[in-house]
Amino acid sequence: MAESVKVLPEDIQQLIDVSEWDMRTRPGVARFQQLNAKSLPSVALDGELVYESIIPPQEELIAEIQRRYADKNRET
Amino acid sequence: MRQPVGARDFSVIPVSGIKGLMTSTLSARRFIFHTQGVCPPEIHFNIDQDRIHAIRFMGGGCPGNAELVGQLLEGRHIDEVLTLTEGLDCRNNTSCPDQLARAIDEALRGKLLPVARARVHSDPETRSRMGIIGDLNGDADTLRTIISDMRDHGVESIVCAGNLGGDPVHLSRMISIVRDENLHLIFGEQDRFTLGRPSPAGLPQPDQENLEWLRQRPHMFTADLGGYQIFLFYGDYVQNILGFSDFDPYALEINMVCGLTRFMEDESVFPALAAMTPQFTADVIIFGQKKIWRRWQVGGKTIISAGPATSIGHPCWGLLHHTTGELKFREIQAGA
Repeated sequence: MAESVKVLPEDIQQLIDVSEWDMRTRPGVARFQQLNAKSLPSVALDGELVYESIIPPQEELIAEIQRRYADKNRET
Repeated sequence: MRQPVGARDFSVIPVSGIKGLMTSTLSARRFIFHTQGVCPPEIHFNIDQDRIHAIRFMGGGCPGNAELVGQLLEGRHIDEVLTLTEGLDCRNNTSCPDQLARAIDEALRGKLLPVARARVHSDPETRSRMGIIGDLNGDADTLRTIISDMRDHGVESIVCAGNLGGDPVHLSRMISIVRDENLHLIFGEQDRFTLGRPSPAGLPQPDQENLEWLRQRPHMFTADLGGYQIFLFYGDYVQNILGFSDFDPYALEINMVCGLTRFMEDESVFPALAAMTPQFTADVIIFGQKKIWRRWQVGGKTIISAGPATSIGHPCWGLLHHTTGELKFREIQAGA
């Protein structure tokens, strides 16, 4: 899953910080439960679970990141 | 859109003067170092007579390079290891070898303490019929009845899933039965409290050798049942043993059962469990903490909760057996 994020275009990478949680570990399990996730792989944006059980197409992921980025900038 | 939640905190600690500290002699001890700024989250290593052994970079990174580093440094004096590793840079002003140098530094300073390893006992024989005994609550008569019933069912190997129970005197008697009958016994969470309890007034003192034997019991048990790998542990206290690592053998099974599913109570996360089971070492995972008899089949793995040794007034135990390539489990009420 993280690979699909790592290959995002550079301009998108600059908008985000990526955290990968290892489900083998207790911190990974704790984060999974904190997000109320149910299956793998899971992707959260801004602490909100957005994709579960799927690796979204790159265009869809980029669009979602850009939408959130635009929303945040509008708020500020 | 910065997303700081969960980002790793890369605080870089300058390493200085390490070599000046290399005066104390460290005898054989195991260390687990939690890294900062590199891919593997943990480094495991032993130091014996100022020489480093069994270096493992755990949980990430470049496995081939990490293994090579471990092999090249195996058995070398820590002075030499520090000379070779300190200050090497890969990312975030550090590297896996540099983190190893920091780990040794902390061990020498006494900031990183040696840790034990959870004890695992493996049945050396391949079996076809295994009996499982759950929480006995100090009931020696039930234990004898169950053992007899198990023998009648052709059980070859008997394992107690922890918590013999009772006061120290009764506990000592139960331990005598377990030892006489060559049962496998793992250390349960309540056993340590039982060991610490005083004997009731008026009763003879317990056999201290038996109590010491109990203290030394493994925390986990493994067996081969007709080619199926069986793994048994009591419960989540194992995760709190100093030295438990998420990357130790069977830690994944423990973390998934105890943490992810909360002892299989949260069925909503079974899809996630099923995604993780291909990485399991064990085919069958047995735990005792929930004190109910139940079985689940998830992701091709069998997960069993060992219940109490007495159920609805009857001695109760679990039979796990291998027939014609298939593994079967059933709960048996002795004499019912």
